[in-house]
Amino acid sequence: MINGMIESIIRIRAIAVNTLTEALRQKVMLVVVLCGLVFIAGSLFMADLAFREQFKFLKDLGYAGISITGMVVALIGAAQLIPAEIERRTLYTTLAKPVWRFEFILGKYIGLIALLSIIVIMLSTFFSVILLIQEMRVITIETPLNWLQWLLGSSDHLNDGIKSHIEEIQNASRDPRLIQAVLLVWAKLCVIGGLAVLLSTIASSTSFIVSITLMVYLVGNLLHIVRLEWGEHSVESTFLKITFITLVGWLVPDFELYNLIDEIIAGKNVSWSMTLEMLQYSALYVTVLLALAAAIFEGREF
Amino acid sequence: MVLNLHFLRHNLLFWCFIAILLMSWGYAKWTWENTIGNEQAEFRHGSSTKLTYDFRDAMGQGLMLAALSGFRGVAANFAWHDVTKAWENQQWSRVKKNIELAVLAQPRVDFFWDFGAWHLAWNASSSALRNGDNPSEFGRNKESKMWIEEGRKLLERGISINPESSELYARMADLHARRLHDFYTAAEFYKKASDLPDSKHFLIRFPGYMYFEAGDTQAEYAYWMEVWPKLSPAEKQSPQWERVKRRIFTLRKELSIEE
Repeated sequence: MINGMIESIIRIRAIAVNTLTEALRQKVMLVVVLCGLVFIAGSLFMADLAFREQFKFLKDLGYAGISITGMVVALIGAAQLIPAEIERRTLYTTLAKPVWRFEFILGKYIGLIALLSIIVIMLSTFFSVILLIQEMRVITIETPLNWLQWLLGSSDHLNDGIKSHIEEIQNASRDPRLIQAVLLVWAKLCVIGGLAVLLSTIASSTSFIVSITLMVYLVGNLLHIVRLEWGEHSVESTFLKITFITLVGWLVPDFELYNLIDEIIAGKNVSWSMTLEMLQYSALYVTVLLALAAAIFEGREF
Repeated sequence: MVLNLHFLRHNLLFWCFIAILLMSWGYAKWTWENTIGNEQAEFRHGSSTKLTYDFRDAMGQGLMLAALSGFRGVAANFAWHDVTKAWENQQWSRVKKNIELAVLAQPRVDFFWDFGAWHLAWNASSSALRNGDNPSEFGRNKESKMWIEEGRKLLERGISINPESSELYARMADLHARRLHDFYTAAEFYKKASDLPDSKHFLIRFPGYMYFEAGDTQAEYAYWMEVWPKLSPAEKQSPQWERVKRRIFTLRKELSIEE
C-alpha cells in the first residue's frame, strides 16, 4: 500500500517536472512574463502625486500586473495541457504506460502550479525592488537625505519630524502585509488554473478553454452582486431566477472574496486568519475541481 | 490504467448520487462563501461598492470592466487621477464628481476621503471666495460655505466607513478648527483620533490646543490635568511636554488653583 503510494508520487512528480520544463521552454511564456515586468516597471512613471497616493497607485498596478500575467500564464498553460498532448499524440504514449489517469491530471496541475509559483515569486521580487526604488525617490525628494544616505540608513542627524516622515514613507513601501496580498493573488491563480484544467478535460480547443475560463472568472467576480441583489430583492425573484442563480452559485467560485487584496493595499490591518481562510477555500475548491477533472478524464475515450 | 466506470452511465442511482453530491457541495460552498463574505463585510464596516448604471456611465466602459474583473483599485486610481487634473484646472464640480467615483469604487481607502475633503473644504471653498465671476460677496461666502459643508459631509461618510482611521478623525478636527472655527468639536475629534491605535503621538496634545484657541482656560487646564498622569517619564521630558508643563503652571496662576 505504502509502496504503491510512493510509486504514485514518483509518477506524479515525473509528469509535473515534465510539464514545468515544457512550459518553461515555451517562448510565449517568456513574452508574457516580459510584458508583466514592463507593466510593473511602467507604474513607476506616474504623475506627481502625494507619496501616499503614489504608493497606493504603484501597489494597485503592481498587483494588477502580477495578477494579469499570472492569469495569462495559467490560461495558456492549462489550456494547452491536454489538447496539446492529444494533438502531438504524446498523451497516448503516456497513458499506455502504467499511469493512472488521475495521476496524469494531478501531475499536470502541479506542474502548472509550480510554473505559476515561479512567475509570482519572480514578479513579486521585481515589484519589491520597484517599491524600494520609489521609496528612495520619494525620500530623496521630500527629505534632505540623498540616495547614499538612504541606502546606508543614516538619518540620525535629522530632526524628529523628518525622521517620522521617513518612517511613514518606509511603512508605506515596506508593508509586511503585502506578503498576504501575494498569497491571495497566488491562491486566485491556482483556482483559475484548476478551472482551466477542468475545462481542458472536456474541450479540445485552446481558445474555447481560454474564453470559457475568462467568462467564469468574470461571473465569479459578479457573484457577490447577484447575492446582494438577491438578498435585497428576494421577493421579486421568480423560481426560475432563484434556481439559475443557485446553480451558478454552486458551480462558480466567488472571486470577489479575493478582493481582500484591496484592503491590504489600502493599509488596513487584514488578519492572517482571514488570509488563511481564503487559502483554505482555494485549496478545497481546487481539490473539487481536480476530482471532477479526474472523473471526467477517466471517462474519456482516446 | 483506466477505471472502468462506463457501466454507471445508465444507472439512475449513480446520477441521483451525483445530484446529491452536487447539492451538498453547492450548499456547503454557498454557506462557506457567505460566512467569509460576512466576515469581510464586517471587517469593511458594511461598506461595499455599488456598481450601478450611474457608476458605469461615469466610469466609462473600460474602467467599469476593470472594476468588474477584480481590478477596482486601478479603476479608482484613474478616477482619482482625474481629480488631480480637475483640481489643477479649478473645475470643482468635476473634482467632486471624481471624488465620489473614487470613494464609491474603494470606500476603504482613507486618503480618497482625506484628500477629497481637503479639495472641497479648502481648495474649492477658497477658490469660491476669490471667484471674480460672482460679483456678490454674499454669494461668494455662501458658495464657499457650501464647499466646506460638502467637505465635512464627505469626511463624515468616510469616518462611518473607516472608524478605525485616526487620520480621518484628525482631518475632521482640522476642518472644524480651521474652516468652521468650532474648536470644541475639533477638540472632541482630536480626542477620538488620539484614542485610536494608529494615531500620531502628537495628536494627544491637540485637544488642549483647541481649548486654548477657544479661550476656555478651565477646559484647557482640565484636559492637561487629565492627560499629564498618563504620560511616561520620558515623554514628560520632551520639549513639547515641557512647554505644556509651563502652560499648566501659567493656567494655575490664571485660575488661582492651588497645587
